[in-house]
Amino acid sequence: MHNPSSSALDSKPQNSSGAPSRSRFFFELMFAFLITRLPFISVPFKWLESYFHELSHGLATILTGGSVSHIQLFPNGAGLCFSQGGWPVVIGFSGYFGAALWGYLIFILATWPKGIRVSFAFLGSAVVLTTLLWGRDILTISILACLAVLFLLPLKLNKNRFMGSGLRVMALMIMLNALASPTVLLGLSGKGDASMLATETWIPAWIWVFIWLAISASMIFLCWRRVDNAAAKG
Amino acid sequence: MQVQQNIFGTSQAHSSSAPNPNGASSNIKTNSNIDATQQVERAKRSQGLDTSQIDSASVNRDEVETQLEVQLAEQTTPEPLESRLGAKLEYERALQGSDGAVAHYLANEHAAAREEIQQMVGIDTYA
Repeated sequence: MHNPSSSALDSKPQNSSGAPSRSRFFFELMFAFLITRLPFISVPFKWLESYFHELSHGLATILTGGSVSHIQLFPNGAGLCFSQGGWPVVIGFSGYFGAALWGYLIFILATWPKGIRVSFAFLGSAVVLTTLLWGRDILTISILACLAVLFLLPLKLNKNRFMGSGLRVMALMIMLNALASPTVLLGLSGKGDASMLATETWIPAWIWVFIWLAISASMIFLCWRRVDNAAAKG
Repeated sequence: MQVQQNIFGTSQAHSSSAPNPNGASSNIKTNSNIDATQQVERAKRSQGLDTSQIDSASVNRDEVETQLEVQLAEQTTPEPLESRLGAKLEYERALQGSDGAVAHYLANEHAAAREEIQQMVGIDTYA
């Protein structure tokens, strides 16, 4: 947790572990929150969460023995994953859970200074591979192309420090969107992953929504713990 | 007899354009009367009446004809029709039953295969 004696470390933008300082983390968190609330600028970053949400559905389908037909992404941040077979409970749960988990993993990658370029290349390649395997319609392919540019374009930059900050902000936006998105399901009856899980398990949909909210909040807290521990170690 | 009257009427209508309408009309009328009498007698014979009985009955020919018409109408035509109709209804009822059984059998015959195909082809959607 926060150690008052280590406040001097906060003045440093980044410590030796690659994790940002506490103040920088809060700044990045606020910046990410602000961007997710801006009308037009937030749109491509909504696609990020939507992409990792559908990617998680797809990976869960494959891991549980099913097969993915294709995915669809929409400009408003909605998405669909068309699959056959697999375990519906795991597949349904994996969407919001996976998006939050991806956000945390990307944040971890962003605190790895030496591997920051590899991280961007890995995420860009994942988007390109997803486009080739599961992109079928023009709209989805266009959205995925934008995301690929978002990940691959920073490779042109020589400033690894900005790349780290950018990736952390993206990771935080994914987690913030993963935190906000399940709340939309509370207003929907008979639609969405929570409703499907409620049908499958007889556990009410609002419980699933709160589980996802708790997981997303936990992921952001884990990010904070990593920053705080790194700051404490100096 | 109703049929013959209709025929007569039709013939009369056609004969109106004939060169000698009166002669044609009378010939037809006579023939129709003869036919009716012969048919009544034939019907009486078919019911087991001898010649003397027929002669005595000819006094009230019109009355007998009317009665026979009613009897013929009751005895010859409706009974076979009713029985045929009943048989047809029974046949159709049996056919409907067997059709239902066949349809039910066909619906369940490939249920497992249908379920398997639905599992294979059906697409789940996750939002």
